[in-house]
Amino acid sequence: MKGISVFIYSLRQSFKNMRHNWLYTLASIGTIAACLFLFGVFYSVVSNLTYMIKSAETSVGVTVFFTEGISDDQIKEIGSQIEARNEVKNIEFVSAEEAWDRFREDTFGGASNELAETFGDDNPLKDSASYEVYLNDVSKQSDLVEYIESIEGVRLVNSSEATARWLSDVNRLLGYVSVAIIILLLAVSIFLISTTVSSGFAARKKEIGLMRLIGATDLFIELPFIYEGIIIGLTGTVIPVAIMYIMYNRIIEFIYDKFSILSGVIEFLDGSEIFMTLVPVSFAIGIGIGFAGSVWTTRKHMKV
Amino acid sequence: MAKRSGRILSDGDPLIRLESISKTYSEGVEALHDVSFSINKGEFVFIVGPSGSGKSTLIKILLKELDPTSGNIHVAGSDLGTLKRRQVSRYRRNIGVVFQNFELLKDRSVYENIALAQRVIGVPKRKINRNVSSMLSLVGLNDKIKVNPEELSGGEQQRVALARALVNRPTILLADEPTGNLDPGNAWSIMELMNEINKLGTTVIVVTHNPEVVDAMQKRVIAMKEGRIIADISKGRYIYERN
Repeated sequence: MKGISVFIYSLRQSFKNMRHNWLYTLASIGTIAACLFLFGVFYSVVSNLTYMIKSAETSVGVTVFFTEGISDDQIKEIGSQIEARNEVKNIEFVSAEEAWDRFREDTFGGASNELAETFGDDNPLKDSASYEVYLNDVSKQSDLVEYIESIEGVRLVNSSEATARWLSDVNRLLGYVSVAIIILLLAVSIFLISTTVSSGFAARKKEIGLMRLIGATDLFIELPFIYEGIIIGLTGTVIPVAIMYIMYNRIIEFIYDKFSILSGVIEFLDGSEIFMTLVPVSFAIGIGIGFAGSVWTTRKHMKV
Repeated sequence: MAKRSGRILSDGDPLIRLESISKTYSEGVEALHDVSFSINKGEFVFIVGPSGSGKSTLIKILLKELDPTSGNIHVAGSDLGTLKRRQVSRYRRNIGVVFQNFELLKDRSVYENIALAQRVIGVPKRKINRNVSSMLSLVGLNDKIKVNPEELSGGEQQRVALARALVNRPTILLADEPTGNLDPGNAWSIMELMNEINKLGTTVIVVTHNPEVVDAMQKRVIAMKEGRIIADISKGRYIYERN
């Protein structure tokens, strides 16, 4: 009963403070909203890029060709050695016949092509049996290539290391940039919340002094300011999350619609997969900075 | 035996005991020098003295707004020197305070001003309504419950401040120049009210410059000058030159 009446009183005082300092309150909510909106945008971009890199890793493989006249047992032995590596997701054996069929399909557009028919039953790629190796982590490709090249019976290793490295670098750079911007905005948010709470303290200086003299505990004095920080953080989170929620799928649809050439080439994550993580993390950050900013400021003022 | 603030106060023990209290501010100004006195439960005491005599410092030390440089203070069985920060709020609930300039919150009604004292100690709303009404009856302002303090006369504002100081039923009422901003009629009426409160068992300490009130009340007078106690007389008079 005592706790509820203190809670209701403190909450009323919080809203009173916010009404009194409405300009600072709006600025704080706006900054947190901007911060979390940018966080949401970066998170969506990085998540999608990570997803695309993962997809690329399955297509950006390493192709291993064997020395002429190698036996089937030796090929199997090479396959086992490659498969035993941690960075290898899976390997696929492509026989000389399959390699020729693929080449004919890709180059001549089908077995009925006359040019292809001139080879008759001869297979010009008879020494082109290979392993296609897919990786868990594209950044370890060069180590793997070096290892495979050292295996006896391996004639040639083809890889697209540059593409893989570029994708990894872009993702890492985007991650660093987003972390830097978000840290900066978080600092601005905490500063603004602190200013809002401080101006509340200044406006209620007489009342706080009086409350201290008539026996109010520090917590009783601090509670309205802490609730104020939490409410600002909560409001500053709801706005960007709602905007992101409404906009995300529309933007993806817009991209597919306007750039139809991209469909089938790149694939975006579904909104539910993004928001499953983004919503709780955004609320934790928003409420967290509201709480931390107000507690830090109230403690600073209460020490005086 | 009476229990106060978690400590035991024997019937013979004074309610307030100051032992060799000195206070020197950081600028080197000595506000109090070796001040010692005791006040028993239920006493009515005037503390008088010219400006700079140390009265305000003494009040701040009693309220634990300031710590003395040396000496010991015991109030209601509590040694103020050993109180932790979180225990200070509980200690202050033993003391009702009245100020010269009333210290009422201008943006709240009379009810809200008095209720604030109850809210800080977590009294439920229903009890607050009852207690505020009862205090307003005591100070004769029942019809002013919804009025803003600025609409009241000085005397009425001090009555509201008195109601706020008493609503938590403190052991001690500490009044700092309670009649300083009042005309003689209102000053008398406030002092009579304090006398009534004292008769109900509350220990009353009044810091004042008002010689007429001190002389007429015939209560104990502790006189201070330059941080020292120069007289402590039961049924005393205002001993300084009158302006």
